[in-house]
Amino acid sequence: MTEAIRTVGPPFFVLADDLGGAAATGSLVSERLGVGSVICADLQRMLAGGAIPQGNWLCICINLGVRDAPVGTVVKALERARSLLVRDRPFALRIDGLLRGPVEPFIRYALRLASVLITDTIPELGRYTKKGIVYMGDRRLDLAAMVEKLSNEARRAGKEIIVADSESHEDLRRLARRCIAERLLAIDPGPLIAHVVEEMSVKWKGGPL
Amino acid sequence: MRIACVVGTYRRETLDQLDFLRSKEIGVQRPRVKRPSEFDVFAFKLDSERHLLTPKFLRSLTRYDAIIASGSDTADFLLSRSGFMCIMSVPCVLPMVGTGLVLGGFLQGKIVAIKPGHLGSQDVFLRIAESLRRLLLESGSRLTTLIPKDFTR
Repeated sequence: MTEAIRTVGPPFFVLADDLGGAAATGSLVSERLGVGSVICADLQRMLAGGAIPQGNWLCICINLGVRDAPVGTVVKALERARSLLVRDRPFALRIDGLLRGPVEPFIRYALRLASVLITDTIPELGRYTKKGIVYMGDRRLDLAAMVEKLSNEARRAGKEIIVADSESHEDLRRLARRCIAERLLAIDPGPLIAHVVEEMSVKWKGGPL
Repeated sequence: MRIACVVGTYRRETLDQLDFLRSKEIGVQRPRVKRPSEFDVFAFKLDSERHLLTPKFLRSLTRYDAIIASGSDTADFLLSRSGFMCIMSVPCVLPMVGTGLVLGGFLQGKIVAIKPGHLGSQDVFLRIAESLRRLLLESGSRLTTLIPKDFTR
């Protein structure tokens, strides 16, 4: 069991490798939690400004600005975001839907903290994940093969990488509940994360945990 | 209602989308300061022509009600130079098109929609513009009331 996802109060943080990803995830969460509850901010600006912008945010999506950065820079940004902003609050990692950018460094970093559940499904675009393969029209991406090489590392650390099948929002909601129940760190292009935040917000509305 | 579309991606998909606009007799122009019309499309190569996004041009975007940025790096570039602090998210105007209200900087209060470079059918820019118009008509004034006091001028 890990403390990476804890059922403590808001805000929930989403760490994304670029601004577009952070903004898209922010919009997906906003669809579920309502306008005025989610912001999308830039790591460097937040650190330079010295604070999280004032407001009653339930979710803060942070652009780490590391889409094409070397691995060392990616890890450093993740560490800074976690130690200076996220601290002990719940969080998830947003990756590119086409698996571009620092997907592996994100998973490696997540495994330091928790077992991870990863899926790449965007129901509105007809994109889904089945038996480790991401289907998008005529294109196929082998997500399972990509994470396979990390599985040994995960096992050595006593963690697990779960590449989960999903196709619909109902599937994603089910996976979100599993992430919370089993304290798995969610990694996806945004739709799963939005369900995780929504499920957690139900607990927040019930009062302190 | 005036919408500026700033396209800095030169992926094949984006070029097809720009060609579609031309086929509809919508001018695709280089970034320049001009009198805003209902839908202005500015295209350039972010990698080699970012100098075209001059401070004057960026300031001229304040005369629009909403801005579409094509490509995450393009959005990052223009928002950073506007001095923004963050984006207050609103639901996507189209799937996976991050949308929100700019907080901080000289574009404060503008709606921005960030389209991933590879995303969308040929008519995606027109569909985003149409959705933004609807959003502004239905919720534009309500959204500005949600801006935290710290950000109001």
